[in-house]
Amino acid sequence: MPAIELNKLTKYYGKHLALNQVDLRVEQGEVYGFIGPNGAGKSTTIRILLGLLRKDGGQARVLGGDPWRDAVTLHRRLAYVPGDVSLWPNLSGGEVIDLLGRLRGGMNPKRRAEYLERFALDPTKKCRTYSKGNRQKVALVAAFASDAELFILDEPTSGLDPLMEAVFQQCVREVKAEGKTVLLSSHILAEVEALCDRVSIIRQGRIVETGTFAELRHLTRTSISVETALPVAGLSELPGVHDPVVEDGGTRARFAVDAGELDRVVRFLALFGVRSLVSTPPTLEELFMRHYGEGIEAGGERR
Amino acid sequence: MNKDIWTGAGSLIRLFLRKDRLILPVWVIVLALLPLGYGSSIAELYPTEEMRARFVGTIASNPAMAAFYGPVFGSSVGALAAWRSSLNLIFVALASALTVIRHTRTDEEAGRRELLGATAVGHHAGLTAALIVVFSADLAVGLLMAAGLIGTGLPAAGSLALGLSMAAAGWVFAAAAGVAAQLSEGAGTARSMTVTALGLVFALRAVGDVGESGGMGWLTWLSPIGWMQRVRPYADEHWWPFALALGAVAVLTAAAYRLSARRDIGAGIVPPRPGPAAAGPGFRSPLALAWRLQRGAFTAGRPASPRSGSPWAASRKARPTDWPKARS
Repeated sequence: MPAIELNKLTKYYGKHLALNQVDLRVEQGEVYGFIGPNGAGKSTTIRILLGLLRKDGGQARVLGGDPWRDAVTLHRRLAYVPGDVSLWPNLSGGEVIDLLGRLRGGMNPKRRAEYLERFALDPTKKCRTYSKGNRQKVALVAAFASDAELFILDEPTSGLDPLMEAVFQQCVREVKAEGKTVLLSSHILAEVEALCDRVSIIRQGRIVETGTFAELRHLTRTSISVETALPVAGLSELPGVHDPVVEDGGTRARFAVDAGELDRVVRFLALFGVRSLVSTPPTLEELFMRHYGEGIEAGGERR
Repeated sequence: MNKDIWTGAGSLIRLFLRKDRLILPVWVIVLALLPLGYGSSIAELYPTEEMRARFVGTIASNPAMAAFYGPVFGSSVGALAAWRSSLNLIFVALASALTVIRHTRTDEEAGRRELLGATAVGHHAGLTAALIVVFSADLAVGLLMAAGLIGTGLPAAGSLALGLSMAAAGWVFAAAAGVAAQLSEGAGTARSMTVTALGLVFALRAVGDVGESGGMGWLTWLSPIGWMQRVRPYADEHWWPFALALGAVAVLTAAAYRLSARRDIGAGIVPPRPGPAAAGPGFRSPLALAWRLQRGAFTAGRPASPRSGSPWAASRKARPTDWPKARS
C-alpha cells in the first residue's frame, strides 16, 4: 500500500482551476520531493492530503484512508509542518509544542528535548518574540518529536539559516532510516536533491515530470567549458549541442550538451587537442529553469 | 464526516481558556457586577416608592429614554435597575460575539487553524470549543449577576430573570458570530457583520419601543434584545421569551455547523472580491492611506451583499477622476 496515492486529483477555487488531474504516488519509506514555483499547487495538494480542503474530482488516499473523511484517525499517524507557521502570540514555544503533540495524540519527551537542543530553540520564549525561522523550528520540533509514520513538510525550511537547514536534512535522513515516509515540498532544489529518492514537478496545477533523479537527468544537459589547441570548427552543427559560445579565435568554447550525445561530442573535441575541459553535471535547477523558463502562459486555466 | 468531527474540542476549550485567562474573567466579572451598581444608585437617589413612581412617569413621557433604554415595567428598585441595565444586553452580546470570532475566524485567518487542523482535531472542534467557552462565560455572567443582585436584597425571581436575560442575549449573538465566522475569509469582515447585526437589532427595538403606541411595537419582536427586555425582571417575570432566544440559538448554531461542514479551512462561504491591480491616482499621501484603510468601517453593511459590489467601487467606476485633480 502506498503512503500517498493521488489519482486525477482536481481542485477549483471558484472558477480558477488550481489542480488539474494531479497523479502522485509516494511509497512507504521513501522521501519524495514535490517541487514547483509559487502558486503551482503544492500547498493546495498538501492541504487536500490533510483533509483541510475538499477535492473537486479524482481520488486521494493517505495511509490507506480517505483524507477528508478519516482526517482525525489519519492525523494521529502523520505530522505536518507548514511553510508559514503562525502561532499564538501569548503562548510560549514549549507550550505550543506540547499542545500540538497532545492534540496529535502523543509525543516522546526524550525526543522533544533532543530536537529542542538540535534546533537550538528556547522553548520558554513567548511566540510573539520568535522570528520566522524560530516559528518554523517550533513546528519542526513538534513534528520530529512525534512518533508519526508520515511526515508532510510544506516548504519547512523557509526562514531557516544554513546551519539549521543542515540539521533539518539530518533529521529527515534519520526518520527515513527509521522506515518512515516523507513528502517534502520545496523550491530549494539543493535540499530536494540532497534528500529525495524521487520527485514530481508541478506547474500550474499539473504534474509535468515525475521520476528518480537518474531518470530526470536524461532530460537534462551537461554544461561543458573546453579549451583546445586548435580552433574548434563545426561545433554548432553537432546534434545535441545547445547554445555554443566560441571565443579566442575558436580555442575556447562553452556549450550545453544532451546527456545522450555526450560521448560523441567528447570524441569530436578530442580531434582539436583538448587542453582543459570542465564539465558541470546537470542539476535539477536547470531542469526546473527549462520547465519554468519557457513561455509561462498568462494565468491558470478557467472553468 | 463522522463522529470524529468533534474530536479535540476538549483540548481546544482548555487552549482557549489558557489564551483568555485574563480577559475572559475580566469581562465576566465586570458585566456581571455592573447592574449591582445601578441598583444601589437607584436606591440611593430614589429611596421612596413615591419618588420612584414620579421618576417612572418622567421616563415614560420621554421618547428618547424609551429609544435608549426601552420601556420600564415597574417602579420597584429592581425594575428600575433592570431598565437601566438594558444596554448591558448589548455589551454582553458584543463581548460574546467578538470572543467567538476571535477563537474561530481570527485563528483561521492567521493560519493557526491549519496547524491545529493537521492534528487529530475534528472539523467542528474549533467552532464547538469556542461556542462552549462563550456560552459558559455568558451563563457565568448571568448566575453571578443573579447571585449578586439577590445578595443586595432584591427578589430572587427577578434577579434570576435579569441574569439569565443577559446570558441569553450573549448566547444569541455568540451563535450569530459563529455563522458570521463561516461566511467571510476575514475576521474583520466577520466582526463588522456581527456589529452591524447588533446595531440593527438595537435599532429595531428602539423604533419598536418608541412607536409602540403608533402600532410599531411589533418591530421590537424582531429583536432578540427586545425579547430579553420583555422578560420584565422584577415586574411580573415572563419566562417564555427565553424560548424565543433558545430557538434562535438553536437555529443559528445549526446554520453555523451546516456552513462549517461544507467549506474549506481558510475559505469563507462568500468568496473574497479581488482588489484593484494598481493604486488610484489620488493614492499618494498618508491621508489617502488612512482613508483607504478605514473606508470599510464606513460601509460596514457592505459585506452582507458582496456580490453587488460596494457603492464605493461603483462610484469609482463611474467617475474615475473623483480624487482632487490638484494632487496630481
